[in-house]
Amino acid sequence: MNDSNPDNHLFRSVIAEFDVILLILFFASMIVVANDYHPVAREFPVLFLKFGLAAMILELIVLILPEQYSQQIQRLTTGLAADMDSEIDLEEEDSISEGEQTAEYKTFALALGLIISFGILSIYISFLLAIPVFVFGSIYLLGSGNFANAAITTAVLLLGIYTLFGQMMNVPVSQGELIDLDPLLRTVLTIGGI
Amino acid sequence: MTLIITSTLGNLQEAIGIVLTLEMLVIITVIAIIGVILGALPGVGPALAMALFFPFTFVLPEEQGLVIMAVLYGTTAYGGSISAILINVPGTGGSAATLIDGYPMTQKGDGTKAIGISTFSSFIGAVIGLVLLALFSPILSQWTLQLGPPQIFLMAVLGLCTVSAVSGESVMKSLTAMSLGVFFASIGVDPIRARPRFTFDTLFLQSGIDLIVMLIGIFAISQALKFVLDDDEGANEAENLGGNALDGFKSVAKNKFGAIRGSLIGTIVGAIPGAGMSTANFLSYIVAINSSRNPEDFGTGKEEGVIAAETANNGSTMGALIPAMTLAIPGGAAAAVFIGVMFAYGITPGPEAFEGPLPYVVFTSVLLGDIVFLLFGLFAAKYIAKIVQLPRDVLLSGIVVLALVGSFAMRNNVLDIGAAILFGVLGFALSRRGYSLIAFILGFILAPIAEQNYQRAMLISDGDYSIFVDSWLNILLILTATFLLISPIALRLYRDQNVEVAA
Repeated sequence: MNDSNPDNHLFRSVIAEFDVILLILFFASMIVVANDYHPVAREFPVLFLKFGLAAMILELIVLILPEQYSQQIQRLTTGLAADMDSEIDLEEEDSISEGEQTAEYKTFALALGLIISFGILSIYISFLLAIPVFVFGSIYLLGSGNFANAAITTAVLLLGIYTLFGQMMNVPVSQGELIDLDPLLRTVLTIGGI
Repeated sequence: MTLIITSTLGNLQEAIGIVLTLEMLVIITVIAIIGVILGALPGVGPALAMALFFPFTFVLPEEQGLVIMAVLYGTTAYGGSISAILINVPGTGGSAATLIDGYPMTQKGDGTKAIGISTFSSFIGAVIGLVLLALFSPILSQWTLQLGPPQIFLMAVLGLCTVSAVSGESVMKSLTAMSLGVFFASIGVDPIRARPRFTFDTLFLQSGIDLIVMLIGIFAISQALKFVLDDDEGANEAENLGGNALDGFKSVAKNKFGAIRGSLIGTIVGAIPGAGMSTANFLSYIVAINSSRNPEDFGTGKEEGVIAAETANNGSTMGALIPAMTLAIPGGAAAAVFIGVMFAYGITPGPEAFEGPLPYVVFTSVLLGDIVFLLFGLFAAKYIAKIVQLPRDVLLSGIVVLALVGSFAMRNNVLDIGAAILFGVLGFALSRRGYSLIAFILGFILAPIAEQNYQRAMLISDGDYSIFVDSWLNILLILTATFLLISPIALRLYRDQNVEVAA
């Protein structure tokens, strides 16, 4: 692809800042949704929705301007705290390759999937059963795969969560929609003399 | 005035009586040590530590819960300097400038001395900040009694406009983040007539988004996602540490002017909404460079650099509580969590917060926590370097589990787990794309205050907008807010013009 083509450059700039487009659509849709509300109830949030919409439209305009104008406006509209960073030599982050970026997306998706799975498992099979699944999953899929780390972390978290949340705060950490560990825990604690 | 002083002294005496019990002293000591360790863990920081701990405090009496939060708040900021100095990774954003001269000191074999300097500096910064907090916040809270709904609305707007000036990124993106925060705070019912909005006919959204669930998501879950993607490069083994921590006292004593200057800069900058610890940390560091006879030595292990950074860092944590406790305007992210804690305990920031001994319980316990971190830091900090090198996967698991269990515990509602995850993803995405999280949080916290007072003002004036410009104070607030909003553009255009003229 020829990057010196201005249309290409414009297209790539806009796609690279997809968040601006998403936010414009989000703010616009929420303003439409708010039309059905009582005028007093919608006045304040709609004012800020419009404010955010205007800010993002301005940001989009700056993106599609020729580079010399775009850079000048970006320099003028950066917060003052950025001036402090420029007075100190901070190490700049190295740019990453496309392959590394793809790997990053995969890692992020995996991490998010694990977190969401932990949330769902906690609801259905209880926090106490979901914790070992999540901890082993994180350490083996995202981390070092060290069994000792996984086992110790699981034990510490189970004890901490059960004691602090379950016993002290009466949060139902041992109950899920499908499984209730309370009878089993009561039996174990009775046998243990606790 | 005499009445205020008498009442203050009475409340202080009562507060000392509450705090100086064996039970409270044990709590303060244990929490202070935990706070230092948590602050030293890279990426954890005061806001996340407080958000994770907050659900635990529900089962405790009000004073104990507040003491735990206050001590955590005061000690985690110091903890960040330990990992910055010993392993070249700032534990908190407020220790980034500390690292510039702190780690080179370790490389030269003076790591323990550097810890000593940072410990004494942090203590001085915290104490000076605390004194200013204790002096100014009761006076400011009394002054707020004279403010009516129009003035409180304009003060909230002023707080929102500071994001423009203090942001380090695109102002447009910061204002957008702030608007997003306002939107999410609006979910539920309007504050005066309780009409539902943005609830999409769901019962869960009618009760609105819980502040602590949002903060847990924004700080804990998004931080966990960042851990996964950020590599461990830059974190070094804690090297053979030479020097004597108590020598740090001599260094700070030699640079007492610098220490006081850093503390004052930190406290004042910390009180600016949205400025935060890292702004105070860097600003004080830059002032130290510019005032030094040997500025070229900074970055090579200069003691003045560590002193300037750490005094400001801890001064700013106290400064951030000034607007937080008096106006519910957070000076930084951790102060935002502290406001959430106050609301959760039924304490409304402002004059009401200063009736009774509770604020003095906070001040006294912060001071005692500072004394604990002073002693702990001097004698045990180098051992913390081993603890803070926990594997990231272990840290990730711990943070996520605590965060999601904590978010569930707020209202025993499974949907809060989903909300925390959603805010975590949102917080991660916002920070990755250059949107300010503190702007988002400012919008979330200030929106209800601004809207409630706006609607009250409109009810009082029967819809007449001139109520917002009918006094000199209102006009001053509007002009200040406008100036803050346009300050980045205005100041840069002014500088460019001067450069052209000079050329």
